[in-house]
Amino acid sequence: MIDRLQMLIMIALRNLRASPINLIIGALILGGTFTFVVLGSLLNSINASMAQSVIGSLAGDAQIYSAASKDELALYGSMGTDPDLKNVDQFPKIKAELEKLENVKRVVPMGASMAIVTSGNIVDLTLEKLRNLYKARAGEPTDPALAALSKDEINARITNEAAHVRQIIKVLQGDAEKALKDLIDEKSIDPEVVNALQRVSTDDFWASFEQDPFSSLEFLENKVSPQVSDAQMLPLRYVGTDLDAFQESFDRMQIIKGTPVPKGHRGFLLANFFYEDQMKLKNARRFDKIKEYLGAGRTIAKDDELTRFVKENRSQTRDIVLQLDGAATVKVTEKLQKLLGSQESDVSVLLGTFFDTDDSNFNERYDFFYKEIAPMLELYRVRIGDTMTIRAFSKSGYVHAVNVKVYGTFGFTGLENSPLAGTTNLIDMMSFRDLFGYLTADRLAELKQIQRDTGAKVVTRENAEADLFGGDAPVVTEAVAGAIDTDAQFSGETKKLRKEDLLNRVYSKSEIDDGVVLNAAVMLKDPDRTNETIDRINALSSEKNLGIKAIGWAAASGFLGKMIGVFGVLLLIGVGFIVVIAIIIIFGAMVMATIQRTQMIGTMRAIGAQRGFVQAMVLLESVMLGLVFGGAGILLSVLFMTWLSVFGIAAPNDVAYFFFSGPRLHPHYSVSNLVIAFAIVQTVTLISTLLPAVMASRISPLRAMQADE
Amino acid sequence: MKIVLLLMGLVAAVLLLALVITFLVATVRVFGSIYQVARNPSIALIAFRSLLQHRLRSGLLGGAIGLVTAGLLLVTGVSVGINDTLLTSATTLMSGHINVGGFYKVTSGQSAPVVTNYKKVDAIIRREFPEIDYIVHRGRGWAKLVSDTASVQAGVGGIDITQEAGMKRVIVIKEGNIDDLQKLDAILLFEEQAEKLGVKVGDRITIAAQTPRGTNNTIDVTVVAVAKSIGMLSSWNTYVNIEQLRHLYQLNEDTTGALQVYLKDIKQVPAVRERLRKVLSAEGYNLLDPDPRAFFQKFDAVNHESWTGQKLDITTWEEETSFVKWIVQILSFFATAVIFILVVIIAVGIMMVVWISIRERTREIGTLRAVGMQRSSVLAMFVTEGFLLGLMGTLGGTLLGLGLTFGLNSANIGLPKSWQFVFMSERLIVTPTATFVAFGIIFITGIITAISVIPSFLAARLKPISAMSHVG
Repeated sequence: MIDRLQMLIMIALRNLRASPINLIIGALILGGTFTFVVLGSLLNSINASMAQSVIGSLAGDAQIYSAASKDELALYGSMGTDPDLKNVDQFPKIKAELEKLENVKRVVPMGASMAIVTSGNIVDLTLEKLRNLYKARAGEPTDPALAALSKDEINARITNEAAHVRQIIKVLQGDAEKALKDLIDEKSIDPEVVNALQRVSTDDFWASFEQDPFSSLEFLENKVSPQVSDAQMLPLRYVGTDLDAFQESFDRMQIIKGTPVPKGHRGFLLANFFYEDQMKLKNARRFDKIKEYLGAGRTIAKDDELTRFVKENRSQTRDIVLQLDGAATVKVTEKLQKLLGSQESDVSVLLGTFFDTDDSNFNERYDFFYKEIAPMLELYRVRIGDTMTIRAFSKSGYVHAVNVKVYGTFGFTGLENSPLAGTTNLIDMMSFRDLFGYLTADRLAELKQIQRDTGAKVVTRENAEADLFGGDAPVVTEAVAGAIDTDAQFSGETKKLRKEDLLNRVYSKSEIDDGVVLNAAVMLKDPDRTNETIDRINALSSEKNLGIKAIGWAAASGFLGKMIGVFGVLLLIGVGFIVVIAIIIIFGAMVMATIQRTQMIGTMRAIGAQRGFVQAMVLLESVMLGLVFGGAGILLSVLFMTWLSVFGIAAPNDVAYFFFSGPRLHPHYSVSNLVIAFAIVQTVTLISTLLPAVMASRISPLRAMQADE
Repeated sequence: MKIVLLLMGLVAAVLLLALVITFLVATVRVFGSIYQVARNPSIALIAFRSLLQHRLRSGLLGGAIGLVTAGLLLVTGVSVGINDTLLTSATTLMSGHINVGGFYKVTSGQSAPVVTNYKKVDAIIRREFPEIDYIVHRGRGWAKLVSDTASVQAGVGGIDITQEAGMKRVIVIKEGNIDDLQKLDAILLFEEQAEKLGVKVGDRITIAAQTPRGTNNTIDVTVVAVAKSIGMLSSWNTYVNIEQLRHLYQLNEDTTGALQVYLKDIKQVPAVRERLRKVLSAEGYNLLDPDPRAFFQKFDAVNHESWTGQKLDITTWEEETSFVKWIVQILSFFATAVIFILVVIIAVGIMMVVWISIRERTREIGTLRAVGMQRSSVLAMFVTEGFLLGLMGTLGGTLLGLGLTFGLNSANIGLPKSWQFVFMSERLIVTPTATFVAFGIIFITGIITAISVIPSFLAARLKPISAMSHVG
């Protein structure tokens, strides 16, 4: 037996060397193994790092949402809108039930939506400056820097700012009038607005400004400023969540600027990427990007994107010019004249020249900008620590607004520059519910108060008719036309909403949990058992009637996960097709190799080799072929993958950071990749040898030896 | 690190050079062979007979070539199908062949996607461009639609239905009447949105949006028609009467979102676009610099430029759909990679088959050479064998591919939702084109013929005397 095997192996080895066809088949096997290992490992690595990105930045190990929802959960939105989710009812109960499961570490409530922030209104900013100056003059400075100034200095500044305001309003008013002519439907204009605009354009208004500066300021702020608004509307995506639990659960999250939101407070955390990309002064942002790209070896001279940045920087100096008041303009002009050696006196021309950077002077100008010019500018549209007004369409289509303090910015380690991970901002659960138009603890209290005040009672469906129209209850109230006393109307919590103290209120854990939640992240103790736990949660939900559905990160990431799924299936189809064609070719080659050896096999049969022996010989030959070349393929691919994982693949663009879970992907191969690739190739080879082996064994010794060829 | 890279570069360069030289030589030889066959057609006959003689081998490789050809046909067909759907839905729903849109900035920080005094622009275009088939103007809006039970965020296009001949041709109404869009308070939804909102024809919905002056405004409309989805883009779009859209945004009569220009011949797009830019700037209009993105991606850039007033923006349908183009690109990249690997495999196969054929017929070659056949004729014989195999395989594959295409199209396979996003369509559409059929046949046959030169070269180099004495 052993002898026979030894002989078989020796014959097979000899045949391997003898026939060049085997080299061709070998090349196919080697190439196939190599391709399958490399492709498989890359796909697995991308999948793993994407999982890391999604799980670590928003999804958690699993997500739950209401099973009655119309749409599927999509954490990153789907096609520009957020999915229509039904609220998760009785979240505290669900949370308690889930946290009883042994593998569940924590459940973090969430809800995502879009809002609009209006910011950067130059009129508002200048008016605020003016107000601070007046306050300082009145002896109650709000800005410590102003406290040190003498009265004369303050007066000089006031004159300066007031002229600035008047100038801005005049310019903006001109624009508005032009728009009225070309763009806007006259009928939609409120006459009060026209009157207000006319009043500020008169000299009388400005002459009498000093008599009652604060009421004049108020008039400008309330009646004029909204009409000549220069503000930009910035769409912003946010996720409402239990901020404390979020911070503790997602350990890749770190505060980059500012501070975390204090425990239980209302507050807003901006995604650092979003803050830099959308809220920073565009010229400064582009300067940062040019600096980053130059560091990566690109040049302004040869790179189209960088050339565009420089061009935009040169032409878009307006944001900077508008921010500079009289004194600052003089200072910047002097500094730029000195730097550029120019006699030009127009600051916007100087800035245009300054921003016309090339590869040789960029670094110098970059340093100059941040050292000399940036300190005089407001670099961000929203300052950390400011209170920001966020407006959002609630579910019912009405606009809700919430004032919320921006405590800081955050990012996820490795994903700092990823647009996908960096555009979702965080807001506390209470403000989220306000914005989304849902009942919150505060609103509920207000409703109760109103019910008590008005004596309203619940009208049930059965008794509706009797309660509303029948009976002899006295008329509650007669409608009276008249002015509305806003102070009396907005008592209670609505009024409080407009006041600062709501921002300082501390909410208890149960208040945060007890209310509308759209979805929730489930953090697990052992993430390797995610699928098992998801099944447990779904079983628990149907058992206890919780009405929720649990899904994994890929499903929760919405279209992103689906796209990866689709491309995975397409890849599978492609690989399947390749395998079929390879089988045909290898099969053909094997048949040829067998036919070629007809004579030899015939001789062997004649000297006593059994059919089984011939079959075994041919099969063993292909197994040897597979082992030798497949093994070489594995070795080659392991070497290649090791090389790849040491040097990594640089992300081709920002979007890829997310798929690579950082700026470079260091792909790893796993043993399973090797085994699978090897198995596929061996099976293909073996299958394609079966028929030739049978063919070979059918060769009759007589005919074979007679055959000429 | 650098040395490794340098070395790898060197190896790659040498390989590439070898490949190029091989192909050059192969091409020369192929042409030589054509000449030989033309002079002596019996060479082709011998080649053909030899193929027939070895049915199994020829059948296998021919079958493999056929499968790859069919695969190529299907892949290109799907990709053409995606592009066609994209073209039809884009040019129906959100773009003309060329668009004259633009932004109006009340203040330098705020822009509205509006063309003011559009009637004059319209008149200029009609006067100067005889290439134009027709022009429609559409209002551009993005708003929240609210029904009793749900709400969606969607694009709201303002249209004048009496002018929309093209749209009426393409959109299939499932319920209601598209002509009711003449009514002021009417809206057309696609089935997906209607389903999401839970509304039918006759139901009321509210549209809420922000006007260019920063205030919020709402209008109420009645659903007058629900249309069948046409590709992914239709899930973003709804249509109302343009008058009503102006009310929503408080715009005056002489404003519109964009003039969508349709040409008689879509191939003229680049030329007409260039001339439009020239003509309109000569007429004193300010134009935005060309920017190959959809209009809603430009707000950020436009808002940071310092001008106020009107600027026009001239775009093509491809630019307006650029935000979905990347999917098509990934798909074609992927298809190219698979086809490339397959071609490599069958190239290896053809080398093998021709090479075996030579070994089997070594004595025959020797005899032929001894009775006076030239080396170049021997080469031509084997190259012709490869060529014929390639041609028959690709022809058979094309037939198979066309059959499959027909089968797939008539099976009317609906795609699951996530697939719709990638394929831009509700169902799988395979569109075979004459160009790609011809390309498949010529490309694969060409490669196979060229590859068969390499082993054939060996055959031609055999000396008659050694070939004749060759055994086995």
